[in-house]
Amino acid sequence: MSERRDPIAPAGGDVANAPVLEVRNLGVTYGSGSDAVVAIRELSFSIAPGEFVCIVGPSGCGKTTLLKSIAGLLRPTRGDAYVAGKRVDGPPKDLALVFQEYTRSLLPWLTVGDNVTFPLAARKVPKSEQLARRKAALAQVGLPGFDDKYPWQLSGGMQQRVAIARALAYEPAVLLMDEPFASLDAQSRADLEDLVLKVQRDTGLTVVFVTHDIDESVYEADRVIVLTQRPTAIRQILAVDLPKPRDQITTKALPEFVRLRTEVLKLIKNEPTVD
Amino acid sequence: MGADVPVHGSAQVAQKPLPSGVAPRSKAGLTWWQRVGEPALVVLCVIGAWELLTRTGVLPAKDLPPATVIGAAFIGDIQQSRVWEALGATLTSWAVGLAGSILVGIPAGLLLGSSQLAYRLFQPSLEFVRTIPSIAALPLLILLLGTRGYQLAAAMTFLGAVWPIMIQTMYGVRDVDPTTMDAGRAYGLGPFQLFIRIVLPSAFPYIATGLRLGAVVGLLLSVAASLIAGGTGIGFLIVNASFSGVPELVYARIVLTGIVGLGVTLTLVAIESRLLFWHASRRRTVT
Amino acid sequence: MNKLWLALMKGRAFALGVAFALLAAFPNSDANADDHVVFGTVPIAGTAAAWVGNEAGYFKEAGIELEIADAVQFANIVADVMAGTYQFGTVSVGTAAQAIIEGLPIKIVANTYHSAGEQKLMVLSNGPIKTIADLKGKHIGLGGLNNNFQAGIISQMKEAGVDPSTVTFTLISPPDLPASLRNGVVDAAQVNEPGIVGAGTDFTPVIAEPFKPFGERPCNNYVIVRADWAEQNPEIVKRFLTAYNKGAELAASDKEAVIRAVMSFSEIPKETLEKMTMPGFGSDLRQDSFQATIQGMYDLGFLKRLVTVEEAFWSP
Repeated sequence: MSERRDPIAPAGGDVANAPVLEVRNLGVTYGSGSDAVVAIRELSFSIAPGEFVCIVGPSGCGKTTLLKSIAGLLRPTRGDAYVAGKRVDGPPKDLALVFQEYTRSLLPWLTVGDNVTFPLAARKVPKSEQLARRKAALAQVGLPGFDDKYPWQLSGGMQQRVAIARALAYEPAVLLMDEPFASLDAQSRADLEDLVLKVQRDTGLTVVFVTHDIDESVYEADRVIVLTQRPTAIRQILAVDLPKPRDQITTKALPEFVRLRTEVLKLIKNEPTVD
Repeated sequence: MGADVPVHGSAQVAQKPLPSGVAPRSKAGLTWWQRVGEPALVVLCVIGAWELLTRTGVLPAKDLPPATVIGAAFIGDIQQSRVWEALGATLTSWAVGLAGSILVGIPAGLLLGSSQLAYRLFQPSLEFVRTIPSIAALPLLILLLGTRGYQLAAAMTFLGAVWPIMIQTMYGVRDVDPTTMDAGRAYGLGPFQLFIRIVLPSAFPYIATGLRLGAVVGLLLSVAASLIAGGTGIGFLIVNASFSGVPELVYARIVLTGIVGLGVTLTLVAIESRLLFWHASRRRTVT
Repeated sequence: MNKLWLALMKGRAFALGVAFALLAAFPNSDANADDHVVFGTVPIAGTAAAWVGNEAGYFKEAGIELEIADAVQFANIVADVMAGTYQFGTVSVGTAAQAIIEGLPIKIVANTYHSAGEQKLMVLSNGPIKTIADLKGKHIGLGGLNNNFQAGIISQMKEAGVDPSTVTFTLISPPDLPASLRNGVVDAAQVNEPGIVGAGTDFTPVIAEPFKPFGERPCNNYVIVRADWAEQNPEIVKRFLTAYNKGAELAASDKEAVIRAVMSFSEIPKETLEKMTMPGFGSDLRQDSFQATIQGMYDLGFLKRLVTVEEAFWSP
């Protein structure tokens, strides 16, 4: 059924619902001449406000390159990304990023509270508002009152919650997550998957979630974008119409879940030659 | 929940070696006796052996006075203002030279670390220059600055301290985690904000190590300047005791200098571990 | 410390050469603190005259505020005088001549001290060396090389029939010379006061008057100024000399005053000072001994050329 939908258009396809994130003909080539490596051949997709989109692909397929291009950390060789209608040329204001390596994206010399607010302080957001947003964000991720701890005093899962709180306090239009739970243990991972789903439902935030875990992508997403091997292109975009709220046990037991995960797996495994 | 924290700690160490010379992991777990008592016992044994060997004539007591004689000279000497004035002069020169090397070394190190071009152009020369003993500059500095006043010892301190500070700062800046920088950039920090909020604090453990190394080398050179060239510092008082043929006083003043140096080192280490409580090498508690 | 000292001594000729070039490039003129005068010296008894004069109030009488600065080596004093950080400094006769030959514009203005038995070449009392002739093939430790002390003892060895080329001379920091003799590092050593008193009966002089070839009690050390500074400030130089020479005369006649002075700048215990042979003091420039010393050093190749009295001594 997903095949019948226009793969580029966001879910719903409502014209009034202008995409909050759009990627047009984006390509990235590293190096030049005979040493050139085409990391991303060409990608186009768009994401509507409030959507939860997972991007999966075989390892080494340039997921992070794509994400960096969207986040304005890397200038694509061809094409463009648009966030909230503005062409990405440097890190967009309406976008927050959560990294896989929480130990490296959090600043160890700052308390949890200051880690959450430092992007706001750099933006000169009034102190009282910083505090209010920080309080709300830490509560949302289940770490109320952890303000004065240091990240390294917390477990990995809790550190990643801090990173998510930082992103939430930033109040972005789009939350980009780069394999955010890949280095967590299974239990923390499941907890955080549910946390992100809940936060997304509560806030209506648009989430773009890069992962190499197929179950995770199907469990979290409204749509799954499956990428090909390098040079990367879109293999297929699948709509996930699993009921919400989702649950680690019941959702994953649904025949539709199993069907979708099998399909994604097949798409990734049986890599046909790109035409 | 603490189970995965050691993993993260070791992972970070593996990816990112500690700045050279960073003090080893906190000594928590050692008792007071192990930390202070046992090393003190070693010192006492050495003093005892010294006393025995000189008293029994195995070592020539005329040139190497017994420990108790040195101790008596030490007690007598520290009751006189001249050693304190000389120590004050040495430490003043040291402080001036160190301040100068901080003012020059840190900005230069930041520049060299931030600019790929500057790093490529200057790094080999810097690594070469740092291996030249600063003491080699003394004859030239004597000609330029004379031996009177604080300038010579301050200049020697500067020469000794500026390289470790500059080079550590440079490596500190270069070693800022790219993911941390990306996080800052992604959250819209501009170059200045990135520098203040990420680069400087990230490089700080390196800078602190450079400062500690520089401070100690600088103190040695500040003493050496007056030892070789004269002037008002403690080094001159050591030479003066030597000229006066009073070896116990020579050793007493060397011991005093050593104690001051130890004090400086311990003070800096204490300040450093207070400021760097967050660094992977010093974290004490994990919940 | 010894190694550093040796390294510095080796660098001396080079350093002196560089000095003039540098000073020509960076003329230094912080010298004119009216009547505040810095006198650079080394803390040995031989430099006591300035302290004696200062304690007696002679400099104040002459309208000069004297600051005595401490150096470790006479060679560095030349550098300080050239740099203008000292207006007056004490240097050994050889260093003064060397500096003049290198073209440094320094002038001798006064006598610091002359030798009176405070420096000797000594051997172990119970050792095999009894006479100068026994020095043949031996190892001698000296506080300075290619200087008047070495020139004096080589001259006396030659007289006693010892070929100096059979003797090895080693540079050792002066305070460490007694220890190196006592511990057998050398067979004979230059020992200066207070080392002679300190050694007691352990050592015996083998050459008791090392400077004898240069005349009776020859001048060993002089007070120098920078020529251009002296030319611009002849009045200060004259008043300084009046005070300084009065101090030197007092030092010559009053050993107690010398002992008090030495105690003020040195750590030598009083009982050692009372037993010590003091160097000779006086206002006489002893230019004859200067010439004899220079000749002696030149003859051995220690100096590249002779230095005349006219070029060495200041005349207002």
